[in-house]
Amino acid sequence: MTSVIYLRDFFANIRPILLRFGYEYRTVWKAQIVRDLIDRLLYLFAFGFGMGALVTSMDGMPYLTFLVPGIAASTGVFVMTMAMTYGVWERSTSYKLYPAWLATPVRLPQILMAELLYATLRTLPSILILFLLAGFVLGAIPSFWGAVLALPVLMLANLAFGAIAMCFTVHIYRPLHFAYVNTLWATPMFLFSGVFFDLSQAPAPLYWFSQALPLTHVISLVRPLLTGQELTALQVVTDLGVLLTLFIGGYAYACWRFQKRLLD
Amino acid sequence: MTTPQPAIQAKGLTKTYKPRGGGPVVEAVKGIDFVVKKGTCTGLLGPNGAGKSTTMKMLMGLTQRSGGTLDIFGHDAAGLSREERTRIALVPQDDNLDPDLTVSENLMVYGMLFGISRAVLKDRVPQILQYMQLTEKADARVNQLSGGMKRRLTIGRALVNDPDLLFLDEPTTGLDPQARVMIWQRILELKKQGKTLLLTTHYMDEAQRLCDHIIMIDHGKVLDEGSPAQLIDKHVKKHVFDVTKPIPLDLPPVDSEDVGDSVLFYVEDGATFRKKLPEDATYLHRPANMEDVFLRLTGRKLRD
Ligand SMILES: Nc1ncnc2c1ncn2[C@@H]1O[C@H](COP(=O)(O)OP(=O)(O)O)[C@@H](O)[C@H]1O
Ligand SMILES: [Mg+2]
Repeated sequence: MTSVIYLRDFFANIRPILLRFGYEYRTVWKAQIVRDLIDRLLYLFAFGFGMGALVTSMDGMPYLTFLVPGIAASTGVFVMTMAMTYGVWERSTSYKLYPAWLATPVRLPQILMAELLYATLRTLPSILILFLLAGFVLGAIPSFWGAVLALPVLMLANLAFGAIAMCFTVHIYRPLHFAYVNTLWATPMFLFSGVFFDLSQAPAPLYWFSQALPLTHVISLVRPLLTGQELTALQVVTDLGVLLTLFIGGYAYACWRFQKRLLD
Repeated sequence: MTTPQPAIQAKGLTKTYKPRGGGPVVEAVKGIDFVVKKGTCTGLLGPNGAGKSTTMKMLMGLTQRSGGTLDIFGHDAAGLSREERTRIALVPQDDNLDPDLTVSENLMVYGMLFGISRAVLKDRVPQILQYMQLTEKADARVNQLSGGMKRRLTIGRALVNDPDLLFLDEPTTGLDPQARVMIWQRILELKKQGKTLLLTTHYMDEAQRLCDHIIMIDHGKVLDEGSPAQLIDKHVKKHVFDVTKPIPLDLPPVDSEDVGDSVLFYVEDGATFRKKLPEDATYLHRPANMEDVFLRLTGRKLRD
């Protein structure tokens, strides 16, 4: 019974914060989509056409087709990392909105869940535009239904990327240091998770390193979905399991540490 | 006979801040006891750094207490139910309005955080804007407001849930006299509605005017408490003569205090003392007030 009440309050409290983000989004959505998408498109064009001219096929498909799923999967890495580091710091510490919200019935886990949900939803338009462009203009997405199925996978992945970034944020006290989350976490993950090259051809140490990166587990699902490659049940269960664990674990850890930090 | 349950009861309330990465700990609140009766306006007064805001934050569950007990409506302040929390609101010392939203959106979101439906808020938000004289600014962004407007919005925001218990941390600091008077009126109206108020302020005239009961704190400890009249009676005499130096030599030995270029004499019988003053003495005669009590109790040394 108490857990039913808890869940009811949990969702009742998330809604107003999502509404707050909705008000904000209404004024910034165009700039937001451009900002979230533009560097992904630069990578897609530079590598897709530049490298694509040299590397005619990768893992048995045109290089551009190989590249699209990785680029789509990496969108969330950067959007979520920015939102859960600078964004959360700005609202919690700079604007002091968290203390303002915590003076109402809302509790911190609900605030952090609303942050994750909003930022994740925000990636959806960017990914859709990327898919439409790659699929219909560039003809680089062979499986339409695979792309549709990839969307929920990417949303789960983005929740996980957001939760992980939050875990960094709870330990960072100077906004200057958020740059390290980008340079030491997001960028290396982007480079070593098989976005640009076929990991099965990579040297063994690199292969094993890549397996420790969450983005690898997103791409190993999304690339087969988009390109129509075979996908085993074991692969699906493993990768989804990794992403779900990171999301739940990261979120729980961030809630615990943030609570301590704010209330101390 | 049972006494009615107080709105707030603190016993041995303590807060120690431990700086991150070592350094000396700060004992901001050192075991204070106090009671706030329902339907009263209680003032928490003390110099900067006395521990007022920290006490407010512990009441709101915004910072964890280090010791003691703290009850609101008879329940532990750190473990209030959702329903109990909807009956409380805070005006924090520093405005923490949402700069990404407009003025009315700020109120809308805050109301929904208290679980109030959109339909109710559609009526209530304009009412609050009018009450706080912010109607023209409804669609402005927060950073387009003056300091006084922001303060009024913060106070209006704390009224959106129509709280029974309201914490006001320095509601009028930094405001011009017009805005202060307007906010005093609002606070007196809230008092009339039977709400319980806990207020901090640096303005003693404000405390004297608004508060039924005053708790003086300094260095995290309660110095004294009582009604403004009780405190004045107890700590200073009825009259104050502020006599400019040089001080006449043959004055009767009364309670006095050197404040630089003049000396304050506290006396019970003003007429008799005035007769003792030479014709050519420069002085100011006024009734004693809370400011005298405050300076008496907390000293004249500057605080950070
Ligand atoms: N977050 C904090 N960390 C460390 N020390 C703090 C913190 N907040 C307040 N203090 C210290 O606690 C003492 C009381 O502060 P505060 O409650 O803000 O006083 P007041 O509101 O009466 O001016 C001061 O010495 C202040 O420096
Ligand atoms: Mg203060």
